[in-house]
Amino acid sequence: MAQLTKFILHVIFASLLLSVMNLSYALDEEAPLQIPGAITVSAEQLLDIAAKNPRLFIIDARINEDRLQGYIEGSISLPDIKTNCATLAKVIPKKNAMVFFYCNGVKCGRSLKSSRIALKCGYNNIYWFRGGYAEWTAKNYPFIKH
Amino acid sequence: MRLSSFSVRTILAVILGLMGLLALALALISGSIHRDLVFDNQQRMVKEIIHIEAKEHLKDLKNISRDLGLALQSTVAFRNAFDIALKTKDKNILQVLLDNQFHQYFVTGDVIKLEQLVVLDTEFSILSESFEGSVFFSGHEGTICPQLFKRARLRSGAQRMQILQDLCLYANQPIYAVLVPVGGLRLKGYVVVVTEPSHNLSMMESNLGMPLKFQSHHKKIIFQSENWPKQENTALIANYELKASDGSPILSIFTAQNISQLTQSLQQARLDVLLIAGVGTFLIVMLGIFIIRKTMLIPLNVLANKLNSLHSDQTRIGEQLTLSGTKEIVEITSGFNDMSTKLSSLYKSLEHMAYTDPLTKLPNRNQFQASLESFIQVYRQTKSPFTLFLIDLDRFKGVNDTLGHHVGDELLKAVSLRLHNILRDDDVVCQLDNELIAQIDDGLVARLGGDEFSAILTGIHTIEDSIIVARKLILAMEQAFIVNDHKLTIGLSIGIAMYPMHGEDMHALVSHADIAMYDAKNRKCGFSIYDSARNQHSLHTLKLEQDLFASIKKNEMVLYYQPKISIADGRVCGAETLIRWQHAEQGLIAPDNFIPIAEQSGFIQPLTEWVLNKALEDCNECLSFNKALNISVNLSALNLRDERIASIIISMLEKWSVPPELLTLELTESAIMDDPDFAIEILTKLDAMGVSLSIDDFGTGHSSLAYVKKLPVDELKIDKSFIYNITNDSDNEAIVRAVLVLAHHMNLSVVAEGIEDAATLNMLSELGCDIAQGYYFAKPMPFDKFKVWLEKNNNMRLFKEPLINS
Repeated sequence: MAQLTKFILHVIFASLLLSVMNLSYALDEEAPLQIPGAITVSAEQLLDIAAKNPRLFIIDARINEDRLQGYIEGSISLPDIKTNCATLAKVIPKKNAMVFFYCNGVKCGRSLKSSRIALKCGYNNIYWFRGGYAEWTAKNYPFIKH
Repeated sequence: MRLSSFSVRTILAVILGLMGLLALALALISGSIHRDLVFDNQQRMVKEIIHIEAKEHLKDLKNISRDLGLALQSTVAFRNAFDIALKTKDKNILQVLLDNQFHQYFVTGDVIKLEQLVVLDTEFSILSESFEGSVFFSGHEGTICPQLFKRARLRSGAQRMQILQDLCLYANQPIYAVLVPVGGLRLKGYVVVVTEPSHNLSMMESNLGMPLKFQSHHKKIIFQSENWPKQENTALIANYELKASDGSPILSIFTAQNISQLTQSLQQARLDVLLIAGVGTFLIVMLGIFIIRKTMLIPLNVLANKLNSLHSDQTRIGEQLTLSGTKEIVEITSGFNDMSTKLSSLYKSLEHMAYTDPLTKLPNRNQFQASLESFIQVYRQTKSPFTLFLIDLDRFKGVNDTLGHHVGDELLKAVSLRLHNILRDDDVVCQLDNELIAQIDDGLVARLGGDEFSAILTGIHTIEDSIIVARKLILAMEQAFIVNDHKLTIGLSIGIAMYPMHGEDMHALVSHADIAMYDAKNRKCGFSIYDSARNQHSLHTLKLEQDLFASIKKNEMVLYYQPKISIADGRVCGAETLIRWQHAEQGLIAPDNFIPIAEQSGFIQPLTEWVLNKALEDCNECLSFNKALNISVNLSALNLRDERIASIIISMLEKWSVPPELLTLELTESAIMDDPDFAIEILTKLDAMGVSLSIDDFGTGHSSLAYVKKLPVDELKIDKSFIYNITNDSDNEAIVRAVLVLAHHMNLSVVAEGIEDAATLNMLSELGCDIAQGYYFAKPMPFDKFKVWLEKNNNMRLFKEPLINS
């Protein structure tokens, strides 16, 4: 009886753990459409803004394995798990700098997480490229792959 | 073609056979359709696969080209060279770089077949291009894929960063161009990677497992697998057309599928289907025939046989059928049974009607003849004798004539019942075989028609026995019948003939019994047994009797006249009518030879009427030339029994407007003496009318003068036997003298017949006879001659002064 109880507890624990891990890597469902304090953009908006503003930062919130599949030219790799005010400050010194966050796509959640962290750290010109790399390649935009 | 000349079986076999053929034809056609469908489907499927495969391979080609374009611009050297080319218009560095890149790919890249690399600025002006070694681009001018560039130019903003690709034709060759933007996030220009697509598309062969052939828009073969079939009709060729983005055809992809196995399996499937269809059809046809045979043909056959058997043997009408089969057969059977039952009862009643006398319910002549025939058949084997009675009723006609037919009919019924009862008696129908009783019971007593009956008596084997039965019958009739309050006595005349003694066939037996019956009637002896000795005479009589009935219609009867002369003045005072029969075969027949037959057969009545009519007609004619001639007509004894005779005579007189005084009726003594009382009654009536009465052949009968005295007679005719030799025979003279005295005493005039000479006439005149008749004056002659004679001798004295004055 005691063993059974122990087993059930293990199962519950394991599932809880898994759900927490899921939250950190990927969302079960699509990400929200907006992040308070940030501006959600599409690939075209990103390109339009980039054409007019030479100084901007595009943060690739994906882990390195994902980045190896290809990335938007000029983007800086800063996986969400490594993102905090300190790491952000190393890449983007000014808080009012134009910063774009993207990850794999609407379900990946990393850019969402990084955007929120950046907002907390005080960055105030945050653009969230919600469609991410999936939208980019689907729209036949060029990318870099090594 | 007339369907009625075929049996149901044949029609069914033809229909089922046709259905079988139809099924086979359907199987063949559907097999062929199935084959076409299978091929069509296969082609469509292959086409779809080609479509997917081609799409996949083009996508690979696009990705590789794109990667090449991206990789080219990712190097710092390229970016610098590109920037220099843009800014300083010095394109040499870029050209070298591009040539190197092209060479590198062209040499090492077996993945694609690179044909050209082009670098463009944002306005699509060529900064640099390389097609080193490409045969394809050597010697050809013109823009590649103008459609692609048109599309690229139409874009604006961020869209210009998108990678574009298209299939197009260059110098009638298909090429694949991918437009990759240069400049990362900010557009600086483009790299165009041009490849030859068939190189990559040909890789589908391994995926498809089928040989391939690419053909350009202008039917030029661009690629063909080594194992492409030499004869295309042995393979199933599928075709897919690759098109540019604007829909223009670029490249046709053909696959060849070896269909020999498919054809073989289809052939096998078709054979299987045909076999199954054939066997199935055959089984269904057989089942159909079996069911139809069982439920229709066999019952119909039975029915037809039954109808045939009924046709040949009517006694089987009424037999019932039990048939199982379809609803219709059951209905037909039930209808047949109903009809058979009705027909049977109808047949029986018809048979009954045909063989039964409706009045007496006795068997009729038909039944009698049939029974007699069957008796003769049976008894011919055993030679066992039986007796045939033909029974005729005496005086029946009188009953019919005087009391009417309804009384006659009732009397016939009563007589037949009595005959039947007597003859059914055990002592008559004894010694019968049990099995024959039923038949004999029917044939025992029959009514042959009119007042004629017959009886077949199988129990009577000897003449003695038959006499006993005949007497028994006659005795039975002695008791009077009471019919409608009339008390009637009827006599029988029975003719008896025995089988085989008096005839071995029906005709002989019946005619002999008939002869015997007439003999009995003639002799008024009740019954008579056939005697072959009398046969000849009897046959003659029978023949005459038959002819007699037709004689009046055939105008064979002739009335002769013999004048009567008044002795007192020698003038004609009248004429006696004498009937003659001018027989077609036998010539003139004297009345003595046929009057008795007429009397026996009942023909005397119409004959007398004819004579009266003719005599009065002639008398009327005499009156027309003012000759009031007294006409004498002879009446038969039988006429006197007919109470209608008086009224007949009266109506005749009226008809011809002849005064009664001119008619004299001559009667024989015996006729009056037959039934004197009745005769007196009739004669008195006639006398009262004014008709004269004469007693003929006076002296021959045994009449008593006492009766003569009572009779209203006006005249006596002395029989010619007394006159013939009166001159020589004193006895005759005495008799005549006595008669004359007597007659004159009773106020009667006397006629002498048979006067042949003057001496006799003189003697009779002397004796005081009133009227003379005989050959001395004239022979009897037909009316035409008589008229002439009369004309000649009228108002003439026919002889000299009488010897003695009266």
